[in-house]
Amino acid sequence: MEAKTLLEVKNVTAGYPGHVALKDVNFSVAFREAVAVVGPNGGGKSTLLKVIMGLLEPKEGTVLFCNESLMKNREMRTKIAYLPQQSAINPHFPALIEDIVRLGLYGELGLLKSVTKEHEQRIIEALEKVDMASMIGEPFEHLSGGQKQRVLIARALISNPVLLLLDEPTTGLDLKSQESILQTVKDLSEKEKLTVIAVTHDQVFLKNWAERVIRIEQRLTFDGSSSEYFQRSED
Amino acid sequence: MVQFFQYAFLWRSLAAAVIIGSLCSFLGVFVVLKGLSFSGAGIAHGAFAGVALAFLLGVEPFLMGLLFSLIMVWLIGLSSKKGNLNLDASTGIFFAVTMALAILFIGMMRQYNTELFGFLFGNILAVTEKDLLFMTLIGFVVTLALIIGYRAFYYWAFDETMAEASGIQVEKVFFLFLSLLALSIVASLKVVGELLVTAFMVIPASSAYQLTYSLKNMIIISVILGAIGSVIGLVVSFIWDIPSGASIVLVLGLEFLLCTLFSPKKRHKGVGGGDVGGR
Repeated sequence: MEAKTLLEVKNVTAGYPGHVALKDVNFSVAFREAVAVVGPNGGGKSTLLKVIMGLLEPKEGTVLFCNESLMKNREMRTKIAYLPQQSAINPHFPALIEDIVRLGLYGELGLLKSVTKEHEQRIIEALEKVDMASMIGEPFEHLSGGQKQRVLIARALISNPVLLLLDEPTTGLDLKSQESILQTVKDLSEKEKLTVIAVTHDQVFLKNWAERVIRIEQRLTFDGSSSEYFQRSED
Repeated sequence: MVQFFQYAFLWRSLAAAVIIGSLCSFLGVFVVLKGLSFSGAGIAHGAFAGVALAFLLGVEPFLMGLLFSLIMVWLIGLSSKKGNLNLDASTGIFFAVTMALAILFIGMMRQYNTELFGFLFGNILAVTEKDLLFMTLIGFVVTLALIIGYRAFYYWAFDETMAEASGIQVEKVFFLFLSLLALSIVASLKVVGELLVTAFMVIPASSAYQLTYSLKNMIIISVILGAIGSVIGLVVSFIWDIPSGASIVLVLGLEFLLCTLFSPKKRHKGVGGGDVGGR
């Protein structure tokens, strides 16, 4: 029996004024899949994440998340959590770890609802999942690159997402931090049963975590299992 | 010193210093974190061009300054968001164009106007009751907007893509912030002048950044430093008979020096903590 589909990308062409980044891309992702998106720089990987999140409207085609279009149903966006590339984050932003995780509650709280004890408990639980609860009151600025990523993952998890999108989660990290992020993402896929789509160039990350690999070079040029991908790379 | 409190105009100046010092320092936190200080300078130029036109036409300078600065905000914002220009370049264009307009309007005047040059260099001692009312109103509106929108501004300052993915309409937040900036700059022109208003936005927030790791605390400290620095600067300008705008900014600069020297962040990295904003 075929697994239930979470995400459908149907004939999507998307880009920016004067530039087509994705052309006629088709694939679907089932619940609890661990999918890596690979491809050259400028090949359309980050654009694909934006289209999936509903932040960029496709010029052609549709993206359905739980059978709904995110362009029409903005509320559904809160079911998708996103972790940006580390280089996009100001590493010296004045915030404590708990403040960063609390940001993930925005979809629920909006501008004016108060943070309750239950929310504070969820902040602790989200940090426990990434093994950072003991540092809850520490400044974000004091953390290593890997610890910062884990805090940002906790921020993403607090909204109880169905789909987690990661943009180059291990880029710019030292080897130890790369291993800790790999383990965290593996736990999320296996223990938390989250559907995870990660854009990555990291071959170790790919080999040790991804069940399926999608290669984007403006068009979709490969869609298969991780072992098939490496087999083809060797050939 | 006792003389200082005997004159009504000095009380007005003191009130204006506290209002503008606090207001600019609150907004300044986001200006610093988002690397928008050049946009602040550009908006101030736009406002001054409006004030110059108002003097040429004989109409209300605050309202014309406000109109020009809001137009400037929207032009900067639209050309950076909808065109292919970065914010720095689009600000640079309108910065130069509005300065040229200001020079043109001044050149068209038949006589030298000292009041207009008060807007260029600041003259807090000339603040009238009407000016004070205008500043209070703008201060109230801007502070209320910042408090209500605090979570959205916080998320926007931290990371725009994550904020957008969480449902925040970041483009609207950006335009709203620039508009609040324009309102505050226009309200500040008479106090510190067009040339120094950017320093007013940047220095207290940068000083506060040296002392804390929390955004909320950074705002509180920035507001306190901005208000105290403005009051001390005003009193010093009275005692030593020096220009008030310059005096206030120099006191704010001294505060920054002290905050940097005694920053707890020095224990974790080099002098002055990390780089703020601009990502």
